[in-house]
Amino acid sequence: MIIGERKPIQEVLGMIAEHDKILIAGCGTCVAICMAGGDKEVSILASAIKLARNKEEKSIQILEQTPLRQCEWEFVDELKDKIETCDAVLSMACGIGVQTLVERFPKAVVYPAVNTTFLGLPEEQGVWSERCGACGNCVLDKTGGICPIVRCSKSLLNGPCGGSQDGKCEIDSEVDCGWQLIYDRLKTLGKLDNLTDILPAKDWSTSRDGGPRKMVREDMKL
Amino acid sequence: MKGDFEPKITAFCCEHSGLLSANMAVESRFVFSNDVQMIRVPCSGKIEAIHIMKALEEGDGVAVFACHKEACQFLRGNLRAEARVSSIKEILKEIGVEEERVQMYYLAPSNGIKFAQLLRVFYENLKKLGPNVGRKVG
Ligand code: SF4
Ligand code: SF4
Repeated sequence: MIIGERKPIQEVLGMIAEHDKILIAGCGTCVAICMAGGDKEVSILASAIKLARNKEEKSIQILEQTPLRQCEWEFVDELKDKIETCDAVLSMACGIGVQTLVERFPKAVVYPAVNTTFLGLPEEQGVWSERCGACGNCVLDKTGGICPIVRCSKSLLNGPCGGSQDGKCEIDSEVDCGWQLIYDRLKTLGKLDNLTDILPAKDWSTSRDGGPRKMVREDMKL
Repeated sequence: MKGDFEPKITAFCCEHSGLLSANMAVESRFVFSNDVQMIRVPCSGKIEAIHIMKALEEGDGVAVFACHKEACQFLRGNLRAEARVSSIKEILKEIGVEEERVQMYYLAPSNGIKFAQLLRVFYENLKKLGPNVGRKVG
């Protein structure tokens, strides 16, 4: 899922300083699960903003709504009526949700209240960690299902580097060495031989190279 | 002006400790039921951040009365409540509202005197702080 984190409230207050009526739009999918922008977080932020603005003697009217997803036209359409009555929208979705609102409601002023941080999973309640860098050309088949791009701090395709010590990465003794994880996993699978295949330099044209990525599937078009 | 000010307090009381002590304090007339708005919860861990924020929108202070650490009927409910109270304090700090307006207290199930003392201290602190400037206007 996409992991996010609420922005500092002062930064958010700065964005909406000139507005007197806003909609805070949450998202009921990824950011709800990572407790950054679901309906509960929307209410808490609304409450904090009200307290802060009352303190400045500049009260504000806040509407709240959290569609199931903020990254699909069908779901954001349900925000239409509220958006039309507000001066601005504070989106608590990931950056994709913010841009979905901008495209769907071109006249609306939309601000981000969440920093989109990475693609990952909740390791346990309250702890999230990165698992994929969306490189566009997955190599998990070669590395025992552990991503060398994001779990090795240097994104090495043929690791480990010389800094791996006692299973930890040289950048921080709290961080697992991704290549140690890959080694251990391949050993468990009886596939250590995989490591004798040198992975060629990665073709990054499927990643951030070449501008915004787009996928078209003719078979899925209506 | 601050002298006349009567803080509006909300107390979330765990029914295994805070509430029993609160009832005892009221029966013994250490505390009067109109001093504070008491909200019964089955465990302090049931209190969500938004409940505290909403109470702050309407009042001057929020106290959470929970079981002593390691005495929670649901094992970790009071620790969860403590973490949520801390997160609210962080938010208050960020927006410049006094974090002392939210406090967590731990007490035994049958300690009316302690409840009254803790509430008194909280009340006096709120009196010193004055009205909650973030409270809903009007
Ligand atoms: S190899 Fe690429 S696509 Fe596969 S998990 Fe890693 S970053 Fe994601
Ligand atoms: S120590 Fe391991 S994870 Fe860290 S940079 Fe070297 S190979 Fe990558």
